[in-house]
Amino acid sequence: MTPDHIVKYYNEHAIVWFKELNQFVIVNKQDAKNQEQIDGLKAKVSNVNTACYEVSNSSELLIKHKSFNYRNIYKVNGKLIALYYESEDLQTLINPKFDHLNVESSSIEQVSYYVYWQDKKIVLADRNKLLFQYYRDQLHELSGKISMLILNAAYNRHEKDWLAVFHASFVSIGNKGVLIIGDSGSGKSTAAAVLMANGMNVIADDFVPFNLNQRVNFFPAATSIKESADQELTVLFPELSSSIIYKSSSKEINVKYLKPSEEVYNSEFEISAVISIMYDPAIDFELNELNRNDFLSQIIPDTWSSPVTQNVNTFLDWIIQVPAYRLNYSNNDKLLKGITNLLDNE
Amino acid sequence: MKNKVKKDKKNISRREALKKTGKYAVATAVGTFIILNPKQSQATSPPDPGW
Repeated sequence: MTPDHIVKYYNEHAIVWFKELNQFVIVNKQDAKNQEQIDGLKAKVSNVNTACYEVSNSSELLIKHKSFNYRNIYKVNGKLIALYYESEDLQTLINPKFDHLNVESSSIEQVSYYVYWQDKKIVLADRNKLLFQYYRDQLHELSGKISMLILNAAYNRHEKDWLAVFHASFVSIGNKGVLIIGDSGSGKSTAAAVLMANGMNVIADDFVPFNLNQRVNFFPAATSIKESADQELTVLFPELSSSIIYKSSSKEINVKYLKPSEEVYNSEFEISAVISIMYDPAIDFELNELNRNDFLSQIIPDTWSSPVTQNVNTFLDWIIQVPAYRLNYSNNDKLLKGITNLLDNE
Repeated sequence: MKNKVKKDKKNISRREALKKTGKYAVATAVGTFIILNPKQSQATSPPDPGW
């Protein structure tokens, strides 16, 4: 029988995962020493949300009754994946960051997915069944699920074959690198692009797959560059100046996309350190160790972690000991030097 | 027992933890516990539809 919870101890604390709730709880070590305490803790914890809307059985598959005039076929790790859209609006949500993977339209795909509107929701389906449906405020999940489908097709894996997907950037030198985390607008992608311009590889940006060996796999989505960072980066990447601008009316920010420098499907990468980054014009470069509880509180809510018990066990073993830092910076040269030193010392 | 439960403020800063988790987080602090919900589904930064 698989346990209904997992406990791991670190410093003076414990982190407990409850299977039924798929929740993590941080508590003082002495409050999670025996089964009675764990049961008491579980009773106090209640599940707050389920973000993903599974399809109800009554929803009818409409792909035969719809016309899909917008199509992209992507080549990922030798596999052809087609995405069919009912409207250009829907295509524009997903395609920009995968546009560089498009191949000629006469190609015959191996996997197909369909995206269309139904009852004011966006439906994601394959040829045979509806997979998920999303409301307008869940576009980040629609995009995340499509990324997951592309990832699984590329590596011939299933969802259970991954420990986690980080909302982060991962840059590497050789077979190890740093995972850069931070709130939206903290400068993750910009930092990744600066490091990339200086010879490091961006292995994944925005969607970082973490496999069962506690390693990162390459994900081919392009890095999105917001207008505010564009000018600075155009010096580093001349191709940005001629790349297509995707206008974003609601936020009034223009976005451009920088494709990965190389496709590295056959390698996996060790995370030497996790860095919580913040661009701060007042600070040249400041790197400090990050308190473990602060680190866990930041990374877990921003991460999809596999709910499979064995995977959670492996994930927790990793997350309670991986070196974690806070970095405030505005100086790109020092950023590069600092990250390089960190990787050399690990 | 109750006295012990109330103490630990040094290492677990509720306010800070909640602040940092941002808008996607569903984190709640109960007494000395920090509850952390991982995302139930994979996600990316929100694509901007312009609608």
